[in-house]
Amino acid sequence: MSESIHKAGFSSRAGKYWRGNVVLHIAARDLWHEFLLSLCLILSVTAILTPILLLASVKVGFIDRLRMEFIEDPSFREIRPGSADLRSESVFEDIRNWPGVSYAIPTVMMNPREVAVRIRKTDGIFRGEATLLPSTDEDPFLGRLQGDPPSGDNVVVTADFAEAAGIGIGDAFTIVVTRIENDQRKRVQIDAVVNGLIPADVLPSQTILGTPELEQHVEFYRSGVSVPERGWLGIDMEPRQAFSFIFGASPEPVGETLKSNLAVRIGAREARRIGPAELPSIIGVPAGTRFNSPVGDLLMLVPGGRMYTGRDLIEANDVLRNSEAFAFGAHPARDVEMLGRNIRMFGLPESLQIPETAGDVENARSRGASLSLNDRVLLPESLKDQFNANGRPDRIDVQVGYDDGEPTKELLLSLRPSGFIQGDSAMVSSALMALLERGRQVPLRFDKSSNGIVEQSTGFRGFRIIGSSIDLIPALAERLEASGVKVRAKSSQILKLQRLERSLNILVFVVAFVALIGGFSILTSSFFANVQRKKVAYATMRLIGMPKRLVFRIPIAQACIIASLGFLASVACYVLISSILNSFIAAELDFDGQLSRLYFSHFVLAGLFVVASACVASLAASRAATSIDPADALRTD
Amino acid sequence: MSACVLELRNLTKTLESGFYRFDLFVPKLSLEPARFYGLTGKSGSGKSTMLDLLAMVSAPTAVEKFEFLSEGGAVDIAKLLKDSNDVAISDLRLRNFGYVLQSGGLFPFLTVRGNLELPFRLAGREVSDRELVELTCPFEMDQHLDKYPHALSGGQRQRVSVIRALCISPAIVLADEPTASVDENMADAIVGELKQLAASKGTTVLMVSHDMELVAKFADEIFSLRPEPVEENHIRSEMSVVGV
Repeated sequence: MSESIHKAGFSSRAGKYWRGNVVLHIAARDLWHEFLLSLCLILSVTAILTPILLLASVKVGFIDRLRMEFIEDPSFREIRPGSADLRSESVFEDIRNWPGVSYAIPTVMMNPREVAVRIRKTDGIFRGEATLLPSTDEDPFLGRLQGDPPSGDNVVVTADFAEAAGIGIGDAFTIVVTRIENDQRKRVQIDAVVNGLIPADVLPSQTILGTPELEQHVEFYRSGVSVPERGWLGIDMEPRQAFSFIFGASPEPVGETLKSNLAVRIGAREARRIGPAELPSIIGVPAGTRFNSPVGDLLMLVPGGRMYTGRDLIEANDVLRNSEAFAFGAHPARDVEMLGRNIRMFGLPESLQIPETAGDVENARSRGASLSLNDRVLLPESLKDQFNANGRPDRIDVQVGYDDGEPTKELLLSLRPSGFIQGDSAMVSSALMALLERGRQVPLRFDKSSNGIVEQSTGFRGFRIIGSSIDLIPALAERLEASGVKVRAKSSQILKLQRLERSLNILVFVVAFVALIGGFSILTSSFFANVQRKKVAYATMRLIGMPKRLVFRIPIAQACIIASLGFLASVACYVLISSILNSFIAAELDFDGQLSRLYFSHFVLAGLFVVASACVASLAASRAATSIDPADALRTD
Repeated sequence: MSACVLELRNLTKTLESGFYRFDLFVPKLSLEPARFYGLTGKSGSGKSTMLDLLAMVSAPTAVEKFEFLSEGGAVDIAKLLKDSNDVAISDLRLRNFGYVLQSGGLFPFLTVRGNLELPFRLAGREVSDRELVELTCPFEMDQHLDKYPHALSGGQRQRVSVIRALCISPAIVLADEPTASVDENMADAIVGELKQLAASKGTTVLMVSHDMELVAKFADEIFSLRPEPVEENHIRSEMSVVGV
């Protein structure tokens, strides 16, 4: 049918263009024809929008200033340790992959320490001190670095230190490290070179940023750990113990107060009551092994994300000292190699052990096994023949394996066999098991001369974790706490800022909402009235062949034009008033920064929102325009 | 060429308002190409209702046949109105119908040029200045192309309205009292120009007017509507041919 009424010369493609264009043309011409009315509408939009833009801009300017203050102070993005718990490098490798973590680096000490600095000058020797921090290329503190990041013994220093010491990039100086050894002060020196400078405001004190290796060497030396790379000798140290569990055993029921006191004092997540039958399965005691199973109440102190130390065990026993209860540490069993076989080895505290023969006990005790490194082992009966075949050796080698990424790669121990127990498992003291567990935190070495296990390094007691944004710091600190890492962060200040921002957002939103409802009503009624006034024109449009869908678009097009012009006028007013606010009012208020500030994205969003709102406001008018009955409208006229 | 451009048979339009009832009945209407028809009748006889029906802004209550005929075939207007097919009706109006309204029906926010360009734009055509001058020159309106309607006299407005109605060469032009607001001499001139331009383009004109003398002077055929009371508050008006 449409073919039949189609006349030659009318192109459908051109038709689409002209029809689309004709709506805009009619809408614009009509608005221009009633210039004063249109101007009133544009000014209405401007009058509503300009105060909203200004209010929002003051909010953005104010919050931005606070945020800048926070961001300029890197301590707001930094999370520092809250306790001196020992951790391995692998912990930080994991943390580096957490979302929101911009940088994570372990430090040997919980709090960075100062090093002595000596600089030989023409007029004498400069002596001073500066905090030594580990740093790498990715360190956000090096964001405003002048020069190169730390490498080898080349370091970055803060500008205030450089000024005090009178040095610059390329200058050499000496770092002096001291320790007390056998009541004598010993010292070593590192010849360092200034590789770069960072502004003084980045860090709270005069600081030297060196490579992680440099910081470790300095702290290892101080702690008595040898640093073979620099030829610095160490002082052998007995390792500390690391327990997975601490249990409390009492012949009498343990009261709730004592129970919670126990948990709080050693930082346990909870003190859980367990049955005596559960103990062997938790610490891997094979079925059938005879031991002094605790009678009465048995509590398991569930760890709060960290290993217990020997100090925690002493603390637990201190809590229980006025009762008949006692605490003991324990560990799950682990696989070791001895006499050429892979053997499961478990540990029991001496108080729970029942050797196969009384003589064995006497034998072991008479040899004076130490509590910290009780080096005796009860072999499984299955190894008896092999043990005898080897000529009943006084000591046997035990090879302990560790997982990849753990500080101790492999540990070869020498233990004294002191008897046999039924089954295929070997038994040692839980104290020895705790020493072996320590190998997961720090590198261990067996010292044959003293038949003791010594620590090869001090591990890491501190760290520098820097969040990618101040907003992420509270959640990051919370996550670290939940995983057992006690931290110090400026979460409360950041949360206050976030609360303030939220409150201001709500305030701006409420004011804007009320104003926009008013503006929406003005536009809706104006567009509707406009259509009612122009019924004849709309009726004529229908008569000359304009389809309803095009008529529908005319009020919408007019709304878009009014909203766009109103928005542009608002932006112009905003720019003018904002510059006055920033030039004069901000100075009056002693406000450091832009008091009124909006970003391009704010303008884009506001523009889109205003145009969309105006389109919605014009829908009633559009509906009315298409509902006009041409016959009625023309007769009424 | 077809024998007629519009054919209508047994059309009834009933208007009711409270107790009042008005029936318009058209037994037969055939409009032939390039002819000038007049439709007269007293006030209230249903002239405007008849024009609304032909302009497709009002649907008949009952109709046996209501077709637009062109070389491409017949368009069943009754069906389009029944289906409320706005797109097809608009297209049919745009390409085949022209309107001259009593008040001129010019858009006050467009210049003469804008008013004349609009039908072309709606039809998807560009119109050149030369074409506009050619269209308006015979009516002596070529000097007023950039004026707004309010700057024109009543007669000039009606002339522009006539030009707009005929500019895209429609098959039919419906003129509703086009001379109501001008004096007698001007009325003669406008209707004469309408007839002349329509004839030159092969367009059929149906002019509604209460001025029997004017209609008789120009119309090739005259229809009349005669209202007769059927009973109290019920009037029936039937169309008939009164002169050729």
